[in-house]
Amino acid sequence: MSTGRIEISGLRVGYGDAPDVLRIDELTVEPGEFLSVLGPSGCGKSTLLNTIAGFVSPRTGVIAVDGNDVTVLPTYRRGLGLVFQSFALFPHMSVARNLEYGLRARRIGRLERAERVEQALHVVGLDDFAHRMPHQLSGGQQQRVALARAIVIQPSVLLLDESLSSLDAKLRRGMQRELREIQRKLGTTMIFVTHDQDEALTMSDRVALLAGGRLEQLGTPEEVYQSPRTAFVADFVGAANLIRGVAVDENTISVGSASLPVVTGMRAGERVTVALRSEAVRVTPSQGRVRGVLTYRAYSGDHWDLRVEVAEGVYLQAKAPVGDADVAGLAVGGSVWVSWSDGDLIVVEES
Amino acid sequence: MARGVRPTGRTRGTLLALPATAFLVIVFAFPLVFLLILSFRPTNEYNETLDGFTLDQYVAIFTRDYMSSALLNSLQIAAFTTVACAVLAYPVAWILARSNASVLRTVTFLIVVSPLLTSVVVRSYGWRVILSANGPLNSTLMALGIIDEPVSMLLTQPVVLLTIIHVLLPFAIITLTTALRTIDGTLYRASESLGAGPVRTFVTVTLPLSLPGLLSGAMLVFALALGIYVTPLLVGGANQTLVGLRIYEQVMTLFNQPIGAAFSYVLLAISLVVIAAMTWISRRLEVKRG
Repeated sequence: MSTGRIEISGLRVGYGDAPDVLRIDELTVEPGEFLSVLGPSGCGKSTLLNTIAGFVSPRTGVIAVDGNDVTVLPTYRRGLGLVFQSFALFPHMSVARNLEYGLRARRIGRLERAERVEQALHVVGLDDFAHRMPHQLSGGQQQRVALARAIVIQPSVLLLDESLSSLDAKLRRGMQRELREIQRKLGTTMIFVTHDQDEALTMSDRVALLAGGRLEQLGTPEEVYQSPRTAFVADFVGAANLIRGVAVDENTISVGSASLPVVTGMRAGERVTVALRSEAVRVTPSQGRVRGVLTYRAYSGDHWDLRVEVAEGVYLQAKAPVGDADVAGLAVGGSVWVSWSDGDLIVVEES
Repeated sequence: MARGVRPTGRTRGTLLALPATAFLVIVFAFPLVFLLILSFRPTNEYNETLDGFTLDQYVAIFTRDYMSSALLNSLQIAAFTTVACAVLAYPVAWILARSNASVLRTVTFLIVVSPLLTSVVVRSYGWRVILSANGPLNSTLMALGIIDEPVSMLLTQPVVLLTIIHVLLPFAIITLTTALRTIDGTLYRASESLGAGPVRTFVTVTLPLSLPGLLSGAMLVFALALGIYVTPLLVGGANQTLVGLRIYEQVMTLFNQPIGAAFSYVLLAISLVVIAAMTWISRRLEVKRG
């Protein structure tokens, strides 16, 4: 019985004579886990997925599924499920034929095929669509068929390549929830490649952040959000304020010509980067840690977006609840006070 | 008039298409009508065209063995050529459509179109040189000890077929390349990910999706092969049971123009029927796919 554990070690991937585009020393995906691979375009996340799928051969390294080395196996012998960004439904086959495709390749009999196709269509809520052609379906329905086609072969591991990014925002949120429910029900290991940090945070058991072909951080959504290891992670996940300066003492850093009361615990003279989430920054008309000038205020439904210049050229982004009476009374260009808790300051590494 | 008359988009398009249309009518449609009338004209014992109406030519084509066997043989050759071109074209079209190696693609393309860029005379005499009794092919086979004395390869049907395929293959390859390029590459990946090996992927994805392109290439090859005469004439001589050569002989040697005209119309009719059938099949496929 396969369970869907993926172990990657010493992986180096590159094309032609160019340097490696992907270097991953160690990455294990546990059975039944939902792992998101998150990163900006060109970070190597699609290359990682294509390497696991077998479309790209690594220069060195081992990929094992349930303890079996699959590094040199062709894609069609790996038995993984794949959902593509463009859905890649066979345009000349009905929905049912699309679903049957993988079952026919496995030489599964007609009766069992019909039964499993029906079940898979039921799982994605398309019971009555078996005889439609792909071009007769909406984007969201095509997405479901693509998912059903991948799960009907009952793979222990399902790879999803930006699979929701071609759907509109509302549909995408619905599919995110549905995908997660299906994943829990089937117990399939899922590796989900995305550039959308919200999607990665809300859906995953763990998030693997890639940048420049390297693993920047691997952890639960909470860890990645609350304890970013590097400035890149802090910025990419949740767009934190990054304050770059030199420690004056343990409780102060200098940024350009200004000094800010930022607790870092670093020795004097050391360069330091501190991340501070915008929702941890409070803006008030009086009383706070630092005085600044409000340069921007925008209403965005459930919160205010604020921008305060706390020293020359040093800006802090803040988020305030719309019910905050203080913020409603502030004037852009006016003087304000900014404060934060020391516990919200995160010293991060530069990438 | 207060307002000047400004041609609308449609009339402007018609005006622009006029020269080309006029040209086609003069050099193609008129002769075709003239040829049709000619094909029903009776002839005297000196093969001179007379006034009147007769079906003699058409009857002769289907009843006189000399004519009907040429028609049958040409149909067989055209059918065989079409199938052979389709089979041979796939791997080459695949390289042209999907290879990442641009040097390989360019070299392949040049080799593919070279028969079209070479004069038919040069190409055919090239074949003659290679295949002649003291040509390189015979000497190589003798040097290898495969044959003891030169084999007469010219004037044989397989060689004529070979040269026909050589000159018509580019048409099949080019149409097929276009068809293969339009197939979304992720479909191959999807097929592989579902457990299908290369053969299954070809049969269930590549073949059905490239079928419209394959059919249009096949139509072209079939129509061209059916009436082909210069290439077989130069390689295999005039004495072959081919429609093109029979027409040539009737018109240029025996000066019997009505029977040449009738023969041309029979060929045209066969081509049109085959093209109509293939178009119908390809439309059916398109409708299903939407």
